[in-house]
Amino acid sequence: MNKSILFTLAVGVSLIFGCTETQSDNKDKKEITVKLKYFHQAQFAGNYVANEKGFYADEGLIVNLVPFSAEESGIDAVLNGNAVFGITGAIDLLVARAQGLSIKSFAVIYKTSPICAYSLKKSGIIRPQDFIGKTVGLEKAIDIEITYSVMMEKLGIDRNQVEEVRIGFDATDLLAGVVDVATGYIINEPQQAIEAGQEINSFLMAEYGVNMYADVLFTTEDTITNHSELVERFLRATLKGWQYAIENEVEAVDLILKYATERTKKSEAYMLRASIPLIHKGNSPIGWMENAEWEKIQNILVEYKILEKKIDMDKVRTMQFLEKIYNEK
Amino acid sequence: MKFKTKLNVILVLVAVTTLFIGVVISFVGARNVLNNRLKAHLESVVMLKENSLKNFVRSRISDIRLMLKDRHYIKIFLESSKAERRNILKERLFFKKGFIEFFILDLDGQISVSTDENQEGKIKSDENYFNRGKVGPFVQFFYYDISLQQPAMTISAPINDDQERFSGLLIGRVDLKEISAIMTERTGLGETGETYLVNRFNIMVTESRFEKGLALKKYIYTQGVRDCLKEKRGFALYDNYRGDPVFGFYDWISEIEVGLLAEISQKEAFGPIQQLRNIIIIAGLGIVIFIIICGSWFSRTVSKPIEKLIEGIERIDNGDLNYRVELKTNDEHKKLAVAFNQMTDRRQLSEEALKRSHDELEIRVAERTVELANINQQLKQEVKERKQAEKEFEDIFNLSPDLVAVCTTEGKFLKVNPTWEKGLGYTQKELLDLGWAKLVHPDDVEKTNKEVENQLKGRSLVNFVNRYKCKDGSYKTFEWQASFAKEGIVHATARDITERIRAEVALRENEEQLRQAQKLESVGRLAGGVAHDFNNLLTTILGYTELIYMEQDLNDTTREGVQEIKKSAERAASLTQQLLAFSRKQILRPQQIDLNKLIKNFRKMLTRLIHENITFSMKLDTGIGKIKADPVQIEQVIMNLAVNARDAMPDGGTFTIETHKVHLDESYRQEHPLVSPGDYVLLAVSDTGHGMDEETMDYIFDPFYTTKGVGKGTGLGLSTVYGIVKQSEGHILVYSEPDHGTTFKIYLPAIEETEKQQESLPENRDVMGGTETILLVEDEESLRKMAGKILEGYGYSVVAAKSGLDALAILSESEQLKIDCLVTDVIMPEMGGKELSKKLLEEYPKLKILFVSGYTANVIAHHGVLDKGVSFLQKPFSPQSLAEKVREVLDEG
Repeated sequence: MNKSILFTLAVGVSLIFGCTETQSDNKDKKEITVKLKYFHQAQFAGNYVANEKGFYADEGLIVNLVPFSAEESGIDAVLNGNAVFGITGAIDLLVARAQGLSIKSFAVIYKTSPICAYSLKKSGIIRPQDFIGKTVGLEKAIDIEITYSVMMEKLGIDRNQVEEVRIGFDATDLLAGVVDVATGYIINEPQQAIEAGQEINSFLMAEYGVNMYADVLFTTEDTITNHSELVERFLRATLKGWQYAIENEVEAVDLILKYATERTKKSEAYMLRASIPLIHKGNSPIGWMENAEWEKIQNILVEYKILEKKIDMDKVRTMQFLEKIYNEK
Repeated sequence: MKFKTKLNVILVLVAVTTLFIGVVISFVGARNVLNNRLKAHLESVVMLKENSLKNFVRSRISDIRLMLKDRHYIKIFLESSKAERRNILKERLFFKKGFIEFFILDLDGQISVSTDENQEGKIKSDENYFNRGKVGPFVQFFYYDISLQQPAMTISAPINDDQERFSGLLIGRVDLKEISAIMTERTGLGETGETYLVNRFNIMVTESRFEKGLALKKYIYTQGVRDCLKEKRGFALYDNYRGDPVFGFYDWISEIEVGLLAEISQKEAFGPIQQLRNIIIIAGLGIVIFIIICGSWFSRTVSKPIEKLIEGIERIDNGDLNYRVELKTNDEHKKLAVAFNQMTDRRQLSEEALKRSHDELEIRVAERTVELANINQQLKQEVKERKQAEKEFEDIFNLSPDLVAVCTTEGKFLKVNPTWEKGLGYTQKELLDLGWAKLVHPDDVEKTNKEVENQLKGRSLVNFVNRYKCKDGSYKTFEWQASFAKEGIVHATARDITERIRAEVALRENEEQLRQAQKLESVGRLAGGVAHDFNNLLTTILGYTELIYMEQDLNDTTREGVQEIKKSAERAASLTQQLLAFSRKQILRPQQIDLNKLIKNFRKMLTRLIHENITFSMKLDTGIGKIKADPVQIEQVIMNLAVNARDAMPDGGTFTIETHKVHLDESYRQEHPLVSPGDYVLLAVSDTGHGMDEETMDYIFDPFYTTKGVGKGTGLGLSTVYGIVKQSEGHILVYSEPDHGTTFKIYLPAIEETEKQQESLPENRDVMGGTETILLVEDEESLRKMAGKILEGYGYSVVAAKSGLDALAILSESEQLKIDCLVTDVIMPEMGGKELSKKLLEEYPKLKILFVSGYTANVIAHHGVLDKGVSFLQKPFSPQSLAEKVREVLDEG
């Protein structure tokens, strides 16, 4: 009698586990490529976490995260079909859209622009008004140049009284004393100066009335129309990845280092810590976009003649996926 | 089943059933009572916390309102100096509990004064607390504040002046740590209980009692939070955010737009019931054990003697003749046992005698058998161990990634492992036939023989390195360890370190390249700064010498002198131009160019440059496509390299220019870390001259470094080349060997052709003057006067101004003045050239504009490249080039 009970139990258990096994196998996995905006680093923590914690797999996706490359921009990669999704700057997306390229954003990651100015503490430079009579190093990047120009104009500072020179994408010129102030991304560049043993003052240009969305997720209009459920699955897992990274910073840094193999734990921990407030302030859902913010960027680009005329906002971004995902929660 | 067992089972069943029914009834009853009591308790905790939270927020709002009702403060806010306003805010911050910052926003939303001076000047016009606080007190609840770099809540209220006009905003930032403190204070919720707040995005906004740093970071999707966010009030059992089963009471506080939850772990809440249950179970178990003991004692007196007799019969039947039945009773059972024992005694005596003789025989046979078995076992073990050792050796020999061999000191192999085949490409048989001595690199034979001799003396070989020939003719570098085995035989292992050595060499080269690039970068900056100032000086010198030269009544000596001054100044100008090129501060006019065509057009010029005894050869690859670069600068690059080639071949030789299309991949980048992978056009310029040693190569791109005799070279030629190539986003490498010649390889990024563009440069034409009116703006007096004279000399009417503001003033005074062209310096005090041009274009949309500058400073150009339709003249300029440029600008469509 004992044996027969054991047998029944064994059959029952194998049936239960057997069923779940076949269920997950039946869900056909789709392999997709995502083109990142830059080299592997904490800037894309949400994607790494979603991959490593199986959030993408739970949505039936196998995701290849491909870093920035000089040969093919993220927008080109998505348009050429070499990637399904991409991460790019909001400005780049608007410019591409104005050229008639059919891509659309479906979520924003960096809601607050990471563009900052930083200087050695001993220089006493703490705000843009202190730039007068000083040498300011500008990086060769469209977002930094526009943000800087708008800020200076908005504050009414005479740029003829500021020596503006070109610098590279790091703190070298500041440390060498070539410039008094350097511009760059707050999530890593000031850290280089700190690691070199300097005390630093820094401020976000966004605090001077020129905030612009930075990293946004995008894909082609075709994908949005004909494969909407794929976009939804990808976005849901990515947002979950970011939420997990925000809640578990220490673990997330270890996951980031699996991709950013040439970085140090220290640098990536700093970058993630500095990034979180730019992505998440707790007063709106992660990824959520405001129409007014997109309009604001567009108005600046038109004013600075980077765009010839305004574009219909419905061609630039769609809220359908964010709304659906957050309504289900 | 035995009688004893049956009795026990019945008793236990009765006891357990009764116990179970009792426990269930009392448990359910107690649980219901507890549930209701808990609910009431949690509800009262929620109400208490809710009240203290509301009170805290309301008090902070009224703190702000009270300050704004006080005319004394309003007067200070609106009329006093910044320092006084800051002091009064600081004083208030000191006295008001719960705030971390006070500040005042002006009508545009800019922070005019704050208790934290670092915040002053920041613009908050996009914030809700600015836009909505204008009409009355407004609270922006729970968010992470970028300026403060911590979670905060912000309260704003309008400052109205005597006439009730809106004149700014007073803002207070509330420290969320205070609210966290209210929430985490224990108020009778036991060890596991806690209260916390959640906003409408499922985010926990206060700290947890159990884990630091969760405020505004933790997302919670528990049943309690979900129900609460539906703006409800209620009670539920669920797993909380830490995964613990809890009782929770929740309420949505719409006044503060937040949900309040009070939770206590079910384990702790049910503690009293748990205790009750434990007591019942222990008591029940006690009863069961008591029943079992009583039952066994009773059954024992009846069944035990019978069991013992049966046992005795069974054991004697099985041959145990020593067994005797013993009973402690004194009844009928005892008599039966005594009779039974006597019968056993008799049987035992007869059986013992038979057994003794049989046993002796058995013992002798057994001893002999054991001896034989031991010997056999020992032999088997020895064979097994030997086989094992052979297998181990064979595996290690075959699997080793190193090359392992047994060889003779005479130069033969006796045995080699398979790694040799992979390493050198020969088969094992070929290796055994060839022997090792024939494979050693000729240069290494001597030292190898020496080591072999050492071996013969019995020394072992450690880390000895030599090279071996592969089947394909190439050589590999091996590191040897060997030991002397016996007469003439050596056991040796070798490791292939060819790759390691190659990698070490590559690494050293990379570091060297990087250091070189950094050094040139810093020298470039210095050079650029100096060149800028020189340009201004040279413009004046050149301009005036030309004006003097044009005077009619000069004697010949003066004329000759002026001529010499002009020549020297022009040479100086060309030097500063080269310095600018090296420091990458000059303006490039990149266009899509066909490099082959450019070289062909330039050929005549180059032929003139090099001596007749030098052969000029071109190998141009027709499929290279286009590059984007400034053609004039690329010509400069080729010319400088040609001059160097010529000087390197005083006795003649061959000068070669080649072009190719190349793709540089990731592996190339590993060797040259400064190059990004992609398609490039390679421009290679070679000579067969005297070449350079490595030390010279280290310095050739440094400005003012020259190997030519004093006065023969400026030392700027290759620096200029380097600067131009770098500014064109290209990359330059040099290969040279003394007495064999030098090759410069320049990689320029290839582009895809997108638009047709005119490639020809504007042709030279006779300089023509004009009668148009020109507005000349220049802050440096000598330059302004000189340019004025030049332009008037060409027939133009000139209106001169010393700054942007001055120019605007002149124009507004005389309304009839019609300006055709603006010639302006870029960097000037008060109002720069760019701003001036923007203002003037509003009024005169057809105005032509020419910028003049010694230094670009990125003011008119994006990334050092000119916008279309903007004209630019580099200082220093000659009178002729100024006139030419002005005419060109005026004639543009």
